[in-house]
Order: sequence, then structure tokens, then C-alpha cells
Amino acid sequence: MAAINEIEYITIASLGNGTDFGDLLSAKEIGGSHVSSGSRGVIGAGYPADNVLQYITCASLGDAIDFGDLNNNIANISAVSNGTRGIWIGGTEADDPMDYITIATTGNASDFGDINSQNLVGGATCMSDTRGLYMGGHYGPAGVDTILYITMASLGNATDFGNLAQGSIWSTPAGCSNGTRGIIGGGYTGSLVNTIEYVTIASLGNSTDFGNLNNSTRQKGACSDGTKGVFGGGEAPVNTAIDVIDYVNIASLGNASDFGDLTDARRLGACLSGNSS
Amino acid sequence: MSGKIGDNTGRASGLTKAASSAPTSAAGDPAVDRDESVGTRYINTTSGELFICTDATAGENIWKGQLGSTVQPVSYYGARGIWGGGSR
Repeated sequence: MAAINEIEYITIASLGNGTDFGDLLSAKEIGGSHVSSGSRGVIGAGYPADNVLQYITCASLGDAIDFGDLNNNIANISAVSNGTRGIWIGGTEADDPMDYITIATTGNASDFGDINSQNLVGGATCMSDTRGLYMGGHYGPAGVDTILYITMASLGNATDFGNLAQGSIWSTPAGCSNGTRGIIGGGYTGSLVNTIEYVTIASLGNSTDFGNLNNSTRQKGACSDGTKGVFGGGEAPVNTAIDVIDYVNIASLGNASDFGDLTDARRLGACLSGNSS
Repeated sequence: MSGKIGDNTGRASGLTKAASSAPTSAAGDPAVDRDESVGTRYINTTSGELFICTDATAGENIWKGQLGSTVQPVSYYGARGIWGGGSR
């Protein structure tokens, strides 16, 4: 698999294909390591491991610009945001890592708290104004079914939220939310899955079946405009990147529908939501 | 002078009361797409909190509540989905 640096975008309200946006600072796999304030998207680390944070202005096409550094060189990290603060969770090569940035202000990350789990990687994230959730993932080859959460305005440790309905889902499922309901789609449970599960972010508890994606796939990116939840890219079968984009209406349980295609077949791409103006 | 402050619909008394409209009220916080003018008042009848519109940008209104609440567009999702990097 060859890493790519291309950035592309879709308009979520309008079904259709992706359009070129610009380029990252370097070609690399990113996965869930990205946050957004709506106006600014910050993308960090990825694979291979490094600490580089870079940002884009979501409404303005163009290349990424250096933002600052995470505290450690980390791979396979995920992130959540309340629009003001971006918090990076998990990842390899660090001891209980969580770092945060203020998205509006370029600079280096600061320590946030602990997740009490070293080398937890590959989980999906979703968020409300208050809570950021980290769902699934794995320690080495062992998948986990846990959902953890943090209160983003605090600097505290992660706390147990509940468990995934179908058990362990690892190898980078994708997550998004409408602020109230969080959804997690795809992943790997020993084989690729097409399942979508949901949680009510304000209420601790286990996830529940939502519906299915059009493909059994993992390593997709997910984004939302508050109404639609969009899942794009990924790999299906294993080691074959795809350009498929699916969507669901987050408020209504059901199966995904076809949205369009990415300009590039890609797996482990950063995928964030941002303003168009 | 009658000693009664009228509502501007009766005879002229020399004393008048400013005309005012009651705030809109409903059982939840105002939505960011109410698209009313700056200064519009709104009461959440469940919480009792009074909100005032401070930014009337279409679809992205900001409402400030007198009990400290703020209703504003959620900023961690948006109209545009953006993918970057990855591998193929």
C-alpha cells in the first residue's frame, strides 16, 4: 500500500463525488487522528509514528500548514473535539497518552490526562459538546469491546462508558455523531464487518444495532453535517483500498445508502467535518 | 388625567406605555436556525431560562441565556466532509 498526501472534500448535503482540496505536508496514513473547530481542521501523527500536527482551513481549498507538535511520536492515535479543544487519545509508543490543543491557536500540545491503557489503538471516536467517546480498538492483536469517554472541558482521565453490542471491533472502525447520537461503522472482528452501532452520548450504556454499511470494510473515515453520517474509503477486502462513500441519516436507524465516490481509493485517511463558508 | 396608565389604545392621557411583544416561548432551547433578528427574546418554558438572540446569521444563530446557557452552531461537524492522506 502506498501512502498518499492528497486532500479531497465532499458537500455532505449534496450526494456526489469528492473534489480535490489540496495536499498534506507529507504522504502518510492518518486514521482517526484529526479534529475540527468547523473553520479549522487539525490533522496529526498517523503512521509511521511522528508528532507533527498540521491544519487546513476547511472553507478554503489549499495545502496543509504546520500547526505544532504532539508531546510524543505516536502512531495509530485517535482524536475528539468540542470545537474549541482537540484531544488526542491512545496510540502506540506512549505511556497512557492524551494530549490536547486549542484548535484556534497554533502551537504544541499539552498533557490532558490518562486513558489507563497503554498502546490502545485503532478505536473509533464520536463526540457531543461535552463528551468525547473512544469506541473499540485493540491492544496488539487483542480487540476490545469497551467504550471510554472523557469530559473534554476538563483535563481528567478517561472513564468507562459501556460496551459495544457485537463485542470487540478493532482495526479502525469509523465514528461520527450528530451531537446526540454517536455511530460506529465497519471494522474487523476476525473478519471485516458491515455493521453500524449507535450510542446516546449523554447516557452511559452499551451500543445498539443501527443498520449496515453497503460493504464489509474497515479503516474508513467518517464525518457528519449533523444530519447525515458519511463513511468513505476503507479497505475491502483486506489490503484493497476502496473509494466508496456511504451515508446514513443519524437520527433514523437503517442501512446505509450510496453517496458517491472519493477521487482516490484510500484507507486510513483522516476524515473530518468542517464549514464550507 | 385619569390616574390609569393606558395601553395606547384608549384616550390620550398624557401618559403612555411602550408597546411591547411577549417573547416567544416553547418547551426547549431556541434552535440555531430560528433566524430571528438580534435582540429577539425567547423563553424555554421547561427550564424557565430567557434567551436573547445575539447573532442572527442565517442557520447559525447564537442565543445567550440569562442563566448562562449558550445555544450556538455545533462546530465539530459541518457542511463539508474532508479526507486527507491514507494509502492505496
